[in-house]
Amino acid sequence: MNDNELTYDSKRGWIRIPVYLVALGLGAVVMLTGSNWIRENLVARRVDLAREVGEVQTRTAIAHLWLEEMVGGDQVEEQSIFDHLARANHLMDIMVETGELQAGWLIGDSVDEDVSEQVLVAHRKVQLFSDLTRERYDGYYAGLDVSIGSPIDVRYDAIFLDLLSDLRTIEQLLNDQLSLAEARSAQLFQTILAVWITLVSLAVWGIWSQERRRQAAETALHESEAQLLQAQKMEAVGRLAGGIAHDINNHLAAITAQCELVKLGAGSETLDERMDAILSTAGKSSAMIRRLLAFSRQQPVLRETVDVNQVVEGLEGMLVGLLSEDIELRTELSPALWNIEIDPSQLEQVILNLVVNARDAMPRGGRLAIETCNASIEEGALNPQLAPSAGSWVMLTVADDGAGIPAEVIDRIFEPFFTTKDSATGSGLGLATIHGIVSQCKGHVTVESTVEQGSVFRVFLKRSHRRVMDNEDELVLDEVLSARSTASILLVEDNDDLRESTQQILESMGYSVTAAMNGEMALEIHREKPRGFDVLLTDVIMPGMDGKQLADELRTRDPSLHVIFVSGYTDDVILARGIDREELNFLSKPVSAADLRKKLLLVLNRDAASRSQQSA
Amino acid sequence: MRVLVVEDERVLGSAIATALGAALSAEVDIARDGQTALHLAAEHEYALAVLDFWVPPPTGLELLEKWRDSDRMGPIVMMSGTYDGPERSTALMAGASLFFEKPFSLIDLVAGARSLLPQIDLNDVGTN
Repeated sequence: MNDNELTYDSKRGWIRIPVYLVALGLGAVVMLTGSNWIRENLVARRVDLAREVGEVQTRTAIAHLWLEEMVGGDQVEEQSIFDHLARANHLMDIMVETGELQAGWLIGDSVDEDVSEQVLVAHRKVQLFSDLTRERYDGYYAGLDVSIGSPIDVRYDAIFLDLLSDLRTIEQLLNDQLSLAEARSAQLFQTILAVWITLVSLAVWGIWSQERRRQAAETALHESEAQLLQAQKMEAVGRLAGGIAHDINNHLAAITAQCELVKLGAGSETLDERMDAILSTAGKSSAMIRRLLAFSRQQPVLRETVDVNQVVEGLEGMLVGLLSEDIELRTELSPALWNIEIDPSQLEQVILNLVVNARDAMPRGGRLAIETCNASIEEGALNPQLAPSAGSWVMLTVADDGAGIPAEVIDRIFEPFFTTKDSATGSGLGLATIHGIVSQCKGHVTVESTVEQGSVFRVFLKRSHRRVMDNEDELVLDEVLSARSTASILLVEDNDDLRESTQQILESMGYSVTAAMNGEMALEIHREKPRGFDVLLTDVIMPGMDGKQLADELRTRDPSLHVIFVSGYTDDVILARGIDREELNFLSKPVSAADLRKKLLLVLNRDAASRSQQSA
Repeated sequence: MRVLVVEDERVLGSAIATALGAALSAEVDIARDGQTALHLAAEHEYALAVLDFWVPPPTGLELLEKWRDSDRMGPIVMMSGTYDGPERSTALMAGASLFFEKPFSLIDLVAGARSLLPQIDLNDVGTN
């Protein structure tokens, strides 16, 4: 693709097409006018001339005949003789005056000159013949000998024949010219037609060629745009990877350092303290990965029913610590707020990011308000600035009276890495992360802002009709959790370390565990003990048979078997395996012992509860 | 002997301080940002400093540039978690005596510190 094609202006290309059409039209007009001119000058005038010569012949012949009859004694209209001659003379005058032929160069100038000379000769002879006719006519009435055979008759006939001969010569010359003119006219017409067709072809080729260049330029432009987009994406991924690598390397350094200290027995901290430090650092990496996945909308969802007010209240202490003393924080939480379904840590992240954003917009202090309310929006009452779609929403509003967002950048604030802050303060991921989290929950986030007056961010999250687990529920759960279980678990995990550690954790809780390193082995184990397991705890993505296929097969054999899927993969990969996180029991890696215990007990107790309901 | 560790990752800073304190029989101060490090350096002389490249400002590199010719500061060891970045060459060119890319072994760090402080009779890590 060369530069010319890349800089091709497609609009100008299309503008040229009417110009071509006008040029073709003009060409057609020129061709028709030209061919008409050729016909006029080469053919029509010569045809007229030939007709005039013929008429002169006829009239002189009639005059000759009638004068001969008159002198022979016959009765004739004597005046007619002179009328015919007058007409013949008049025609010859015209031929001399206007008989100059045009475009003789097309058929040869010498031929035209011959005709002109011959016309002048014939003109003189017609005059001579007319004079002699008058002389003989007058001689007849004067009683002179003008009879047939007289000397004047001989002269009269000779001039007449001579005149006829001249006129025939002119006729012959004109015929020759006509044939030649018609041939030349046809040739010229064909030539002009050929030129016109060539022009048309060139125009069509030009249009086609321009269109092809336009398409090539467009393709090149699209390719360039795609390459630019890819480059930007790769740059973003590179920055992201760099950021992740830096933080994870920091965490790994801390973990390995603590492990080394444990091995070396250095320092005064207890093993428990070191393990806590290690777990806390590992948790930071885990939280960071969750945040990144939320940003890319691929985070494994760990949603539960949440009261937004409780989350806001739980964060208030931390928020006060985040804000400087010159920022006044006001919360206005609607008392009968609906519940929503969200990962609570994600909701915390949304609130924290919005508050930090508001704080940074008020470097000289100001007022920050966090409000919650129910928003039931009818189809007809939609205000795009307030809510993007109808439905029952819980609305979380974070408003500040800070710097505000300029109109020219407000459409870009949710883009990843877009920031108006300096690089030390803003990563450009805060609002993008909020957008990612809210979109993941099928919610919306909107912003209204006026420079120097402040910004209002509204987060709309779908209402849930489920009940939030209260303190009583937690107590019951704690009792259940503290009890040892004797259920039997078929554990399937291809990672050796993880399989062994999970088995140890489960056995420490009292479960009877049989471990398999893949789906095929699990099928074999199950075949030997068809009713021997209460729960299948399986990884999703494994070499060979995946977790979903294994679960389907085993539930065909044993419909009462409970299944818990575990995976570190993102939503897309899991959904592609036909697993719906919302409906089935699912745990995201890394799985803590507490989460594992809670999930197993919930599954087993739900089974017990449903059985007791059935028996009742 | 006094050693300064400037590291914003609390758990790592603490582990480095423990290891160096034990291996060098040194008193170790920890700063989690550049500003605190400057205050500490104004108050004490340090036989060795271990600086993370990216700490809240002034950064480890800025501290290195400030301290490299100071009589009150011994050799400076730099470290960074940035993968495959220009930090190593930048730090060494700027006067760092050693550079460690995270994650690294504490034993390597202690060995490096020992090589920079040969006059000190050191005990093995963990035995002090």
